[in-house]
Amino acid sequence: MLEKFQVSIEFLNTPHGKLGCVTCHGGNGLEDRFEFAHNGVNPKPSEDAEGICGICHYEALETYQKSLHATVRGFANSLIEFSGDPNALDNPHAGLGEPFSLNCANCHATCGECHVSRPSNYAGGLIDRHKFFSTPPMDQTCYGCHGARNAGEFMGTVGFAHDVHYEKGMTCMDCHDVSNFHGTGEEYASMWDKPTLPSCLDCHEDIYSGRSAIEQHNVHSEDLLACQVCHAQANQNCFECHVTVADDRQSVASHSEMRVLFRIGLNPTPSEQRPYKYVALRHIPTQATSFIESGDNLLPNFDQRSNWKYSPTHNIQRSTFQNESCDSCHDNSRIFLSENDLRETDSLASYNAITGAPPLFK
Amino acid sequence: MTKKKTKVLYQTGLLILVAIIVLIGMGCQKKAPRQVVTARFTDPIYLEPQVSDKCIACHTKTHPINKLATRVSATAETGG
Repeated sequence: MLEKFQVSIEFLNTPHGKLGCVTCHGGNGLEDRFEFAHNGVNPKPSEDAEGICGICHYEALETYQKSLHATVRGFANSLIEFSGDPNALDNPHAGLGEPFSLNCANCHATCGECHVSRPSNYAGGLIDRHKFFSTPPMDQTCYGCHGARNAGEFMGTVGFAHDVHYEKGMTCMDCHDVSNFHGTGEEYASMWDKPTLPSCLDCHEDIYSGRSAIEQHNVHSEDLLACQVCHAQANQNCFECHVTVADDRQSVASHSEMRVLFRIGLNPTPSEQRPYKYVALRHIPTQATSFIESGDNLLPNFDQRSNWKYSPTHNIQRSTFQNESCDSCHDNSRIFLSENDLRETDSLASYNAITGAPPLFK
Repeated sequence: MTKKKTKVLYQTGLLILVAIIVLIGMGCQKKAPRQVVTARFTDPIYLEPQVSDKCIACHTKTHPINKLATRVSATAETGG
């Protein structure tokens, strides 16, 4: 256990190290005895958003306090939409508020959980003997929370081959602006509302110019296909989640079936930023009875939201099985979402994502 | 040329000269660097370092404290 909290001598000569342990963590730095030395110690001083970090790093703090990493409003709003009740999470001991407070609400990240430690819901402990990372190492931090889907697919631990950008040495931070992590100062309802999300076009500028050296880019318009339709591989999909509440009602656990597969479907949420007709899909595991142990009929709006969602799958390859030739995709009904893919537990809105394979025009 | 005309010409020339100097001055003026707000702090604040010798001794393992993780006796609790 102590190994996780070992500090390097080099750290002591850094600006943070020169402050002394007690300045941030409290406790008694002159006491030999364990209990007395650790009396009042705060192992996570950055948990208080207005605490020690904000004294110097107030500029980052100003935006961070409203960021989705800090507020986890993305989770909350998703549950509220399913329930149709804006106050659905207000009571932490009943209804949707119970699983939210026992699980989802704990998922927020503190300054320290990216810049000096691993997230506590990953392995916890210091990343490198208390070294502070201005740019956190993605395999120790981002992956800790996002490893089951996007970060895992990017690094190749989930699904098939890793992302070609990862292969070239790129990290999450090479595409995602710092405001994606620290926020912009605005409160967004979900990550999709962020104005600074990366776009493939940020680097690959000529894709939709009509003058691309790749002929397939010139015949598929921007409002027709998301890049992932042609360039993503199979992704992680979860089905039929059931949340179990412990007998003492102090913790929850969730169980769902996971499958790696690739499906193209109609974009369930077209927008100005993502106008695509066809997108790569990912199945979210919520079912109408997912939270039944916390109450009956907690998700009355369940049928209004599709289980199959637009997926910005992060395992991009230049060559994939579906872009090998025209008829690898056109007329290939196996990769397009069909009624056979839907389960009894899926919402009615999921039917809106179904599409047949587009015919091959000759 | 009348004295009046000479004066007008002189004033006009002077005005043009001043305008040219101002224009050249504005063109040569060094652009103020754009302030870039990053995640780093721009106005460091001094914090008084707190004595942490014993913490460092244990957590760096340079000088492990022998009593590490031992239970505190009842007499120690009361200072006896």
